[in-house]
Amino acid sequence: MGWFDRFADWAADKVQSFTGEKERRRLVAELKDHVAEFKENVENALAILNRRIQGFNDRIRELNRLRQGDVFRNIAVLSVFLGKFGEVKDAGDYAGEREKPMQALPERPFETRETYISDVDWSSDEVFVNTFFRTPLGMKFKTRKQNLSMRERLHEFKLEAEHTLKELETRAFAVETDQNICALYIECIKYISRFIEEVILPELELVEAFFQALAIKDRVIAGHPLQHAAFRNRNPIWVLRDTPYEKHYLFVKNAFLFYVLSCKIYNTPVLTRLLDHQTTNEDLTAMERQKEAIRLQGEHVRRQLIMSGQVAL
Amino acid sequence: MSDRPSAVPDLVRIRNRLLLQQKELYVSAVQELNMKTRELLTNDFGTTLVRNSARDLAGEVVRRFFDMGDTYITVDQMYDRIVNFSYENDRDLLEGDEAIRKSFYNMNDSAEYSSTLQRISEQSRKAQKQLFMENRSQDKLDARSKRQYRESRMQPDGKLYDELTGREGSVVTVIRNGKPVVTSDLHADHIQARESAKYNSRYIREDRLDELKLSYNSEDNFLLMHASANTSKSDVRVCVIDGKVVNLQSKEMKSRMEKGENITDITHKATPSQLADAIIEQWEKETRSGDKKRVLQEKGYLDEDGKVKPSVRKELEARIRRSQNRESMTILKSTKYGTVAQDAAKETARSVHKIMAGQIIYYVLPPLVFETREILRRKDLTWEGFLTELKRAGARVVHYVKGKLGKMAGGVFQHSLNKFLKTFFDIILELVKATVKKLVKLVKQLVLSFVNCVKIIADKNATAAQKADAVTKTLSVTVTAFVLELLFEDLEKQLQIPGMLMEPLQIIVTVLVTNVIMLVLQKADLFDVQYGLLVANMEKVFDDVHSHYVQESERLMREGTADMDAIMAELEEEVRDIGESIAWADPYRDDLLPSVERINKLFHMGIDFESEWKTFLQPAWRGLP
Repeated sequence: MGWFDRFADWAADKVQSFTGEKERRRLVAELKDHVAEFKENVENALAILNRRIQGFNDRIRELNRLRQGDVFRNIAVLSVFLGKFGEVKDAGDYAGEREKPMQALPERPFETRETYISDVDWSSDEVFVNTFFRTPLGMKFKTRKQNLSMRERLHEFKLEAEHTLKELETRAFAVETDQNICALYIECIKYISRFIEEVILPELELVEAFFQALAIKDRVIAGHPLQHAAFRNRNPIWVLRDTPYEKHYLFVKNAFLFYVLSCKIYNTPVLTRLLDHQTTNEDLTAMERQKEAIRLQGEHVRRQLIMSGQVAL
Repeated sequence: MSDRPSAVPDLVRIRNRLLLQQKELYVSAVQELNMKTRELLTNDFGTTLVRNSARDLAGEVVRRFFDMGDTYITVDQMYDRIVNFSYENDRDLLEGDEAIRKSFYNMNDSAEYSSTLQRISEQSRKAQKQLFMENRSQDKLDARSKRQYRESRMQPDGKLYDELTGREGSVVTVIRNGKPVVTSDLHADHIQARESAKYNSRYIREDRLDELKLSYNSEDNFLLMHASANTSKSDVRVCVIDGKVVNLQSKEMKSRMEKGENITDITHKATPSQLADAIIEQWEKETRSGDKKRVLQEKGYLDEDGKVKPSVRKELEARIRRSQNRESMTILKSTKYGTVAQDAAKETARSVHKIMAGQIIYYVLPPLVFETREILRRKDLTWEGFLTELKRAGARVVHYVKGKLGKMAGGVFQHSLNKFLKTFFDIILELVKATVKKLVKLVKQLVLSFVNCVKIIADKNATAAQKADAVTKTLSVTVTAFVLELLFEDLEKQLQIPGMLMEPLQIIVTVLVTNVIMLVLQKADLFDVQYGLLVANMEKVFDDVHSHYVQESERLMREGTADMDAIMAELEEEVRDIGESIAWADPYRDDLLPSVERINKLFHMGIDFESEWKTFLQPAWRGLP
């Protein structure tokens, strides 16, 4: 490298430092790095979120299988049994609990960032032409303005990136909570189904037999001939209250309660409704209070700045 | 949280709130960031100018009219510091642009209110001695100089011209002692009267008095003018009676002084324009015969209205200025600088207690006020608590002041040096006149600026760019102020503004112009100092907002998850409990309504078991056999 090249390099370095071109290049590089890093972080956070959603959806599928299987079967049996004691409502149509959609990388924000970067990333030809026509001092002011605005954008971007990651983290936590809620629901349904299957169903024939026996007893006492006695399919159970046979009344009532509960589980997406619950007024009031506190704090900070004369200097 | 058992909707609500709160927090962080950054980027030239000027004016008025210059702290600085002081926010106002402006203002004091300037003036008045003690008729130098001057002005053709009007003098040949003698109607006379010539016996070297006398008899102090003009101006003196400038004939002055009237003769330090006024007043005065004015009109001194022609006045003033400059140069060469320095040192010593008081008040009072305010703010304080607090506060103040001792000593030294130099030059300014006086004033300001620059350059904490920036500002302000002072002198003459209005006007304009220059330089930001500061401030704002955001967000997350975990644990417990209550239930003996009701509530299913049961047991069924 001859002395002229060395001198040219030295001069270029000085001019670039003076015009702020060096700082601009550094800022552009920093912005690029941040965007790349951000993209990577978002991808990682999304992967975590999607894993959680996957887990949640697995649970939902398990729930739906349970509802269409055991719950539906129990409803069918109980409906026939209870029909002999009162007006049984139809179980209604099945409505599935909803799965959550997987989250994809939002392309648009990244596109705008990349366009912005290509806007501020002047090519060296551009820089040369600008420096030549504007003179280094003119270029200094132009670049300075540009650098300040880039700094502003960089700050906004860093904050936004931070927020995006925090939000993804919060969402992942929320999905995990939803999954836990779903597990609780499944557990409850299992308790109900097990009780119906193991405790109520085995007793049905016996209870039915008891009512038949009761009817026969009534006929005998009334002196009616037994050979004409038909099986009753409507049994008045309320009359058993406060009699030695009250336990049968209680059995039917308990079976009915479990039937109603099972029908609700079957025909209503209880969990989906719960989790889709929107923010209420009460929540909004709390939010407003928080917002106001933050605003007041901002005001306070600004007053401090004005008092200490740091503003606009 | 209320007393009722938690249900799943509570959990969902907290979950939703957490998401919303995070969003709100982010929005407010962005708003705060934008607001603060905007504030930094909006360079509000006007507001800054008005605010700084108003504060500088307040400071200047008090400093000048209450002779507070020696404390080297202005009222506005003091106020600002007391009101805004805290140990964390310890912004030293004695550094930065404000200090440059303030030290610049403090280069000059009010002649009327400054005790130092008053003493210098009084001492100078007392030290005045008549320069020419010998009888004029026996003063060979006087006669010879006049003759030489007349000969030097004689044209090759033997003609003489009036130097004020430019007209040719008329020549008459008279017989004197039997010999024909050519006499002219033009007199060569002293511009600054020989009789009024005085010198400062304290500061002028005795061995240089002859030199001073020579300068009085040099051609710079002579003027060829018409005999009538010369005789009619006679020996006029510029005096001050009751604060007003009055021109008196020396005879009248002496007789009135003998009668005990309080008259101060300031002829020896009168400005060229004051002296010219005094002479012109004599020329324009009416005489009983009216001959004098008629002759002066004929000879081109007065116009038709009996007023002195502008060209004559201008020439007269120029001649007086030249004479005073010559005299002043001789004075500068003949001054006992050792004595001047001694006197300046004495004045400085007199002011040291004020300088020290200024430093002590500046560094001690604000923490004291701060501590008092803090203690008063606490309403729950008991007597014992108060005493402990007082002790602690005392310790804090002592600790703070100890940390500032070095700065205080530095301040006292620097301000003493400034006071010494200022007084040194003020004494010399009292000795010299006219243009030389202006030049000495410029030298004074440059020297004081230079000392300030040395202080800036020696500052270990400043970067090279900051130093360059501060030095540029200091010098720019000094040079501009000098130009401004020249302008003002001109303005005073042109607009005939009375002196009492002149000083306030000058303060206002100086403050405004100084601030404008400082702001312009700040805007131009030749050394990137402001840019660097701005960038640093932007980064600081971002760091503050960012860390506050992260902190708050994490707190929200922490608190939210803790709440949710607690509710989750409660719910799990509840589900387990329900499970057990069902598992162990006997459908014949136990009413299971409470258990199913718990599930119903837990998941917000909205089932009304009672009404469902009633519908089941329809009335139509009742009573059937």
